[in-house]
Amino acid sequence: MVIELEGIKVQFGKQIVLDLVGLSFEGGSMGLLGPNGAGKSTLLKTLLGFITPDSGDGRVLGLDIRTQQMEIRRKIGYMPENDCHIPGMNAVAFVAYAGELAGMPPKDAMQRAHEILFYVGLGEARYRNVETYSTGMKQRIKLAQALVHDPQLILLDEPTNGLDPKGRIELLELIRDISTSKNVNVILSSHLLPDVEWVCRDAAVIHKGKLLASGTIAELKRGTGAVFECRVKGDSEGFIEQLKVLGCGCNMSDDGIIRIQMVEGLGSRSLLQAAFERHVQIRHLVPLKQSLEDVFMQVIGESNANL
Amino acid sequence: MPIYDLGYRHWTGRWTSHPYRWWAITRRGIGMLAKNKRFLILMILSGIPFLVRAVMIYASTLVSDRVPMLRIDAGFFEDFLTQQMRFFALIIAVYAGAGLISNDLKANALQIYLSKPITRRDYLIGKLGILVFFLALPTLVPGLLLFLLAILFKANIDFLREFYWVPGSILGYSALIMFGFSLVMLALSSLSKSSRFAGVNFIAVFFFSHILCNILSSILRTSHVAWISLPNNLTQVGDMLFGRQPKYLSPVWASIVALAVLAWGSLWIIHRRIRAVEVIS
Repeated sequence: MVIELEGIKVQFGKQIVLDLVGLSFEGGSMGLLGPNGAGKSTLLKTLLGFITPDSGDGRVLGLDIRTQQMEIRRKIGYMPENDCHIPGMNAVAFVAYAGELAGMPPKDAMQRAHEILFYVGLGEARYRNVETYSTGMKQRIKLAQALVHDPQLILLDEPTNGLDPKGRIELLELIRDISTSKNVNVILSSHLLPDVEWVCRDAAVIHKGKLLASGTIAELKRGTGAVFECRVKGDSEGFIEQLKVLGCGCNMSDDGIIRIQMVEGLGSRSLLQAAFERHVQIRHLVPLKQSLEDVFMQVIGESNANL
Repeated sequence: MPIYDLGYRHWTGRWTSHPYRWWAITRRGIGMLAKNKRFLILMILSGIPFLVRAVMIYASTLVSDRVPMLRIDAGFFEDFLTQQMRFFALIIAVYAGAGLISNDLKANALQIYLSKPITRRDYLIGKLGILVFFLALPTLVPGLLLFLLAILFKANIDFLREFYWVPGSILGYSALIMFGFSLVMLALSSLSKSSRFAGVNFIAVFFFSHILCNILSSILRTSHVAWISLPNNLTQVGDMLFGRQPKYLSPVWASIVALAVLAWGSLWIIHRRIRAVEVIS
């Protein structure tokens, strides 16, 4: 088991920023999903040992997050969210230095820095000062310093922030390669759902410090009801109202297309029944493939409704 | 293994032991400063007083101790450290130390350091090591070399018998300058993201405390308030270490307490500023 958390609670003053009943990650790649301020970064910092939880227990790679922080940090790599570097160094010196800080002998760290910089696509620019790098290159160098000591687990905090579409895809491909081909476990924190869907097998949805859902992405998608795209003629407002009574989520666009998130157990028959009861004609009905965004919107919506 | 896959290989080497992890920070910091040409020129300039003193020691062997200025005793070494090298130590502390932590704060580098198996103590010792090394070069090293030169030029066992304790004094006084300057400089550097701010404040602490002391001394017509001034405190403790009559009327213990409070205060500031929770934005 890569991560096991039980009843972890983190408070800043009186505000509870993290309150996880239980979270486990067996390995591979997991996405931490949640809106801004959900507690994703706090969770990563708790795993790193930067923040000591007020209560609860946790283990990372079998090591206690309260007492074995140094051992944990040796075995994991962390790519912070914001721009950071060691001033006055070129890329190869910076990455080698990160390796030395992790405990690698200087010679090994330097050799590995060259390899890693080539791997992340900065081989040609490795003698340039990091301060002169573009945003995309800075993201790559942060990934390189997280990988240099060959960690068993890497924590990536919003790795695609500020990247153009091409750069974003390249970086996500790299991360996917790390998790699938290089046998390095990945935890990717992001509020960008396509990023998580692209890279990860598992996902955990966090909102207001609480874990709302977790599991493989395929399971999460299966767990929710079907989604339909529909256009009707007649009393569309009444039709939507009827569906909402059944507990379905409905969203009508400006051009009159209704996106319907069915409750688990209900299918197209219920939809047709609602149309019949409201005397509306269904002119267009297409079942949609469930996306992670649908799952996310549903659990966040349910969470907000319960508060 | 296909050739395109050579970019990432698992590393199976041996880890270095944790107690020496700070050495990576010190070694890298020394290396970076040693590549700075302006800093190298400053270090070379700081060697001039040493050469002058070396010539004075040689000259003293020619004219014996008849010329008071060329008398080689404990005071000769203290004067060398206080009157000449302390100034260079101040400049070197500002040049080398002002950006040590402030630049890391500015570049969010603490996140990199603290996400590795590095404790706050390792980080502090590593940064302290850089400054202590460069402050030892104009204080401890030339001080001990001068003493060695004095023994060689004098070629007299009586000199060694009389001043055998002076190397200990040089070591103690140099350590006071090295660690005192380093801790205050690092504390000021940790207070701001601007190295310029840290450097200016260090000079202000050094000179303003001295100016304040002089003003109070003039008003009160006594040097009992010498402990207010950082340089006076160093001088007082230096006088004690080299077995001389203290220059000021304030008790030496007051200077020791003042320096201890300054060091403790600096450590407290650094401890408050270099925290893992700094990572929380």
